Amino acid sequence: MKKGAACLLALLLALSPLTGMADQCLHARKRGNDFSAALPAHEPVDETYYTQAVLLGDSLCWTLDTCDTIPTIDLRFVIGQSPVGARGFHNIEWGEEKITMVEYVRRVQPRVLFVMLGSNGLDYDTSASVLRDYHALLDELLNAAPDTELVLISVPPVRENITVKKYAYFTNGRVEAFNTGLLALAESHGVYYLDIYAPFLNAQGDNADHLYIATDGIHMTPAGADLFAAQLAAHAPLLEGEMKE
Amino acid sequence: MKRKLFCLLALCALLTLTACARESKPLPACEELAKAVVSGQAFTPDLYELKATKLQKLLDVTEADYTDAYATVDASHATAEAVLVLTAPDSAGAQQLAEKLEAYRLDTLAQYQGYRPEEAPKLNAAKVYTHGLQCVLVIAPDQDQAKADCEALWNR
Repeated sequence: MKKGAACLLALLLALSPLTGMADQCLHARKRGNDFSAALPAHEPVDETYYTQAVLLGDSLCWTLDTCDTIPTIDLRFVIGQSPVGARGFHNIEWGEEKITMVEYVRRVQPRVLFVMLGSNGLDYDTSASVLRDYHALLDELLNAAPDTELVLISVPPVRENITVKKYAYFTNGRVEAFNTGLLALAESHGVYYLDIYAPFLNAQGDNADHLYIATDGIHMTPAGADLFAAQLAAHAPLLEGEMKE
Repeated sequence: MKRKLFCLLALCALLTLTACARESKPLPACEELAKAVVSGQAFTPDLYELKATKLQKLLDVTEADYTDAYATVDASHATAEAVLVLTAPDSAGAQQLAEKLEAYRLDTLAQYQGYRPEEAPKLNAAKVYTHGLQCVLVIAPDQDQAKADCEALWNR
């Protein structure tokens, strides 16, 4: 019996270095969840949920910080941050040190990690290019925190009548292409995808008014931050012990 | 000679009394002043009243550093627009608050020069106004109007 167990262990150890892809499949399988669609809605989680969560983002998260919309979450955002920056730029404070977002996740090992990046990139580059960078980031995050529940958050819609004046190709067509790719990326890596694009569009109707997206056409208004928080609470992956009937 | 001296002393006494009267004129509530300034400006629609804890973090002050405060900022940060009003407990505290507000202006200027350079002129023109124990920072499209609105309330 002991010999059998030892052989099994040796086999597992031998197979363990086999690329990130195997890890990702294991990651997906061990949870046995469906990652092919956006997270479904449930009863909103309360603020205690976020004491175990980190939200990594760019300036889209600035409104959440200013309005203190989700006070219990560990919000780490950097203005101008892209998926490339999250891997390579040392811009997160850790005591006296400055570390990358990936390194921060490695050290904190949060139970849940929400990521909202991509907007910086889509303003000047194709969705395919930004997704390639995101893919590399995702691989690093999964290696850094293999037991963390990872949630990729879509990029919200833009008010393209404003954005195209400054960024000629920053349209909702490009945002939609990116979000479609992000869902596929989530599925292939066995992580969750949270759609906030559709709720923002639905809430805004024709996406032309200014209720949820600010005067620059990109960032969230305080009402947009509230809508974002409501979506997060209603779709956050339920953790063990919090599963509802 | 005595008469001249008497007149001089009387004048001094009068001036002192006038100064005291001006000092003792009650300051407007910070919220009232901030709202008066906001109403005189063509601000972004996304101005948001900051929570006290957020204001303290933003300016690196504690609750003990002021007796009254009100702050409103463009929460989307599409612009740098903001009105921050604080009243200090004493004159040394007022000096400190004025310095904190100026530090906030400079930090914000540094941040927006890379992020949204078109906001830099507004931040360069912005000033910290002080009156007695009250300190105000207005980052707004029309700085002259902001100053006039502050003075109107301080001198009413």
